[in-house]
Amino acid sequence: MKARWIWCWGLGIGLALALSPVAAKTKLVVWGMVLGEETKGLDAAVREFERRNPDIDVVLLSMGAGGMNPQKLMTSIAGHVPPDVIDQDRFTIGDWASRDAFMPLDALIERDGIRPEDFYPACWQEACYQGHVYAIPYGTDCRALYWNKSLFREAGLDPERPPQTWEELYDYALKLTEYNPDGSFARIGFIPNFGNSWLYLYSWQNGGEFMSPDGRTCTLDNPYTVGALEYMVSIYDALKGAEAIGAFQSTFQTEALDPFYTGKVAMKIDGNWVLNGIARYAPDLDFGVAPAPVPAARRRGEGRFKGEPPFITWSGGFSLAIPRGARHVEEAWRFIKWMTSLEGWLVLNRAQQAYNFSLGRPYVPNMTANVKVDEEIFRRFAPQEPKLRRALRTFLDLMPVSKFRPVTFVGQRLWDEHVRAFELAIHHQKSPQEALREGREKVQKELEKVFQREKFPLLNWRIPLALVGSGVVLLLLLGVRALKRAGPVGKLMRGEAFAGWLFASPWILGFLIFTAGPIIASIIFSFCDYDVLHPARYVGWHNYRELGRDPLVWKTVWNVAYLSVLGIPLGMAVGLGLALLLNAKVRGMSWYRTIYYLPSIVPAVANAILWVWILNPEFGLVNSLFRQTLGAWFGWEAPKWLASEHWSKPSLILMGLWGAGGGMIIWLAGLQGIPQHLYEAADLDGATAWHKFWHVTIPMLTPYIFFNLIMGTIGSLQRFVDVYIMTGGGPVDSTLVPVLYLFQNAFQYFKMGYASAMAWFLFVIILVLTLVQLKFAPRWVHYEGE
Amino acid sequence: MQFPLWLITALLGYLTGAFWLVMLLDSWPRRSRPAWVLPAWRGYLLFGLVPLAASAVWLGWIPAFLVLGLWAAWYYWYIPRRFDTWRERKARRELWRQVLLHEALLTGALIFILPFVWLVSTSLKPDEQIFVFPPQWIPRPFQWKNYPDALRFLPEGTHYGLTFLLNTLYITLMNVIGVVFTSSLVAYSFARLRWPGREVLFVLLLSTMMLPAAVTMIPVFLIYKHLGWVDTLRPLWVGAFLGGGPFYIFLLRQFFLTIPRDLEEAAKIDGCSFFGIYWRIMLPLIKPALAAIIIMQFMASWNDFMGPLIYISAPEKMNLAYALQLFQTAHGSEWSLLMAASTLVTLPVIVVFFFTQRHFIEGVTLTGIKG
Repeated sequence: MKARWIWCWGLGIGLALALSPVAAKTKLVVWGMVLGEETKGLDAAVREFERRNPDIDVVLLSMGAGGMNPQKLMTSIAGHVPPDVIDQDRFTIGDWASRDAFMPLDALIERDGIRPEDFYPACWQEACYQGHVYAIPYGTDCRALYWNKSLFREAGLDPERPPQTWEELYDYALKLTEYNPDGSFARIGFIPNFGNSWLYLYSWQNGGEFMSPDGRTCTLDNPYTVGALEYMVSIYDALKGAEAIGAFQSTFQTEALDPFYTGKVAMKIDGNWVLNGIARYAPDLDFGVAPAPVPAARRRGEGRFKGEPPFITWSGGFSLAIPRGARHVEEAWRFIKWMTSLEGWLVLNRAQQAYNFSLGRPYVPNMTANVKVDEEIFRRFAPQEPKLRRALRTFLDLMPVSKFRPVTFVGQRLWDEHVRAFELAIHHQKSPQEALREGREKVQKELEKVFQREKFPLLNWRIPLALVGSGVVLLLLLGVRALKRAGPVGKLMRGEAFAGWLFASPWILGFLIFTAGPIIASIIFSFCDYDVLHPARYVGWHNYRELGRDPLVWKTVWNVAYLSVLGIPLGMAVGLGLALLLNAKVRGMSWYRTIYYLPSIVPAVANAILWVWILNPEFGLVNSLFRQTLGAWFGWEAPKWLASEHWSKPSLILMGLWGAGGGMIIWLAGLQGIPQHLYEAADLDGATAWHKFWHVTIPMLTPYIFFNLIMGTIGSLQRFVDVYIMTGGGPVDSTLVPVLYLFQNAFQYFKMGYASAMAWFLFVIILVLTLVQLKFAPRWVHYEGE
Repeated sequence: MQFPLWLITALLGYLTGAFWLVMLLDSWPRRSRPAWVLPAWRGYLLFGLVPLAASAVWLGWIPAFLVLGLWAAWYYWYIPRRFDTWRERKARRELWRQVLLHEALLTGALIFILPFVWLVSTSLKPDEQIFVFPPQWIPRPFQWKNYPDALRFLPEGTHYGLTFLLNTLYITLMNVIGVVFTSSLVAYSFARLRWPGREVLFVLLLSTMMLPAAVTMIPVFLIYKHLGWVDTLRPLWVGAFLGGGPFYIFLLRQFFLTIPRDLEEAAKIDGCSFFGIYWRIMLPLIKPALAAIIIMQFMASWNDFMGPLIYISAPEKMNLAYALQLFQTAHGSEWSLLMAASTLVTLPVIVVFFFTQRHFIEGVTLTGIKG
């Protein structure tokens, strides 16, 4: 018997040994790069790296961390589990570097003789912060005007002469736009921010800058940038406004059905990466690429543009960095060096080209941040088709006059604020001047805060600890006194008391660790400036004062008030209505109940995604039905739902009604709890159904109404998941709810102190609302027992 | 279709529906059946198949149904008026009440089920059928490939999403175990044992119910960070073993209070320990409440999104809810794949719901809380 066990063990151990690799490989985790069907080149480059470094196993993950969602990266760095390499959008490097989130690479660069001169200056400088290099530029891009020559011909324009000045662009945009008989767009000539240009391009073209050269002042609202934004707004206005264009844009698809290929858009400013898509999906598209139109004065080199290049563009791109706390720095550096080397790029391009050719598609190489590599790649891999080759050359020739976004630790904030200002302006919520000024002020405040950080003293933990400690001692003393007063206790009682404390100890422990401790910490943080990676600094009431001044905080309050005041009563009414219907005695009732209840058990994430699709302005279920019925009969225009700032909140309420079945069950319980004799008595008095409902049912249900009201208020104030997934707070902050804003501040901007202050603000609101409801309850809530 | 025309069609449609429902519901025993109610088979022949077939030949299917409805409605509305008794009139009113209720319920059910149909229908469509107006409800052909495709686009090393499912199951299981045992133990202590400080702590417990999670979110993150538990599954379930939340404790305490003391006294005299009383006597008595809590916690942990959003980075540790959201950020415009993935995430919950429906609804009713 025993022998058999030993055999089993031996076999198991043998198997385990056989399966485990002889020498454990280093697992190198890279975020921001992901393999797919179309990334044969990246795949080849990574595999080649693994072949040359047999001790390393590379794991690529997308995580959305390289792009605009920094929350994941930050939590992982703060939690000491960062990836080894991150493929990071270059313009945010300054931000991350200022927080000490990335490792400076100077020593490694010097050791291995990487030459900054090999890179485009715009690319290299964008990866430096305060004299240190924090990342190696990888790919790059730049922007130019694409125009559809066939559509030019159709509209009677010269297909070989693209617009060169803003004025021409404006005229062309109108000329190329076509409408359906019902007034909706069939095609738009040019949408200023469709593709990839942003306000940045227009502002630089107009001579604007975003930061002062010393990086201490934000100049978002300088007159040239304002002029640029006014120009963008003028095109939106000339084309029926931003909302109509937004609705048209929400029908746009990607890949083969891209609106530029299908002729829904005649011109766009976009990056060089689009060439690859054209080569793949629309090889027959008759298009051209030219430098983006500029103000007429710049084109002519007059006035303030004397000596300036006639055309201008800007570059972004990614770079490879090593987060602080990465476990395999040496391996990570080897990976970065390989990926940015000429050899690495050649392997990548060769494989990608072979893949494209195998499918019979032309191949357009992407641009790299390295000048020499770019020239070599163009020589070897540039496409033979003249229109693609010419287009790629146009982009490469623009690189020397390319600008890059200012390197600053407020890069992300600047970006967010410029987007917000742009949105506010095109929707005419604010004038361009005002919107930009507001954005500038916000960015400036961030700047001031960091520059003045040193002014604030480091938090002295002894003071709050002493306060908390004395509080605990006081409580203990009180407890002991209370025990003494209770008098001597018997042995049996003592046993029971011991068991009681013991059994309650899980909660007591949980309360101390996960509630009481965090509450105290949260109070302390709310008086601090704290970003997790640096020690906290004491700022007094600063965070709370800022709360009062932050217009977005008040916007969140307004949004949540709107959602609650309309949503909660409506939800309750629908729930009650359904319950009344389902309370009747009809055959098959359990089936009906199941169906009505089903929506409320759909997982929140799936629910949110489903509703984004249902509310899609063009092809969603709701608008399809709307346009077939109400739209067709009365000529009403279908609402844009989540794409419109006026309809986004009603959309969320509508979605909530679908889940009203969850509340329905509670109402049903309430209805069934109403004693039948009350109705019989009412019948004897000759009451109508309405009277019975109003004078018997409703009063008897008041405890349930009260309960639902309280729980609904608390739940509504803490809403997060669906909004985070569906709108992210947009459009124009119209669905920004308190917890979402708090989450953004805490885990995206890592302003833990400010977020804590916000949490307490939220708590006070909940507390006040609950107390008010409790206070007024006796006036209208009817308990049968009383 | 013009609005008035639509309105008329809709009304007639309702009448037609009412007729069929009357026929179906008509199960009066022969003796009490009024003279004007035809036996079912004759009814079907007279109002159903024969005129339907006839008018379909002449008019086409939709008008045929309308004619049918009118014909039946006229018969059942007009004829009985001439010769019925008080009793029959009452029975008739009851029948029509039933019919109208059914129609209202069916209409509502249709509205509630429509998004599901839309979900499944989109998930089976080829791309070119998604973006058409008017929408096409039935995909042609059914593109089952969307499902394997959606799974293929998941991050490598997650075994086509199986890892997500296992993680979700693990998180859910640990949460349910933790909540069931610790919350009932704590509730028992609060309800049945006398110990100094109990009242004060109970008030404290109730007041924590009002505290928004946002207040403790940041410090709790820092705690787990210091424990080195970021990017592990532990932050997603450890809390459940520490009482499992004030709401559950409160609920179970109220339940314990309804159990008579005699049982306990008897056990105590027999020399049973406090834990023994809890384990052998009290726990079996609160099974319905426990079932409710299990289901509530199951839903909460199955759908947990905020937890993974803050703590989990590695795909091999994600749960379904979070993986679905990541999938959305990567494939936001590929609606068919997105809907296929959503269907796959929704399906297990619906299956579980169908098996536990009774407990589920009982539980929700019991606690008065939205699921």
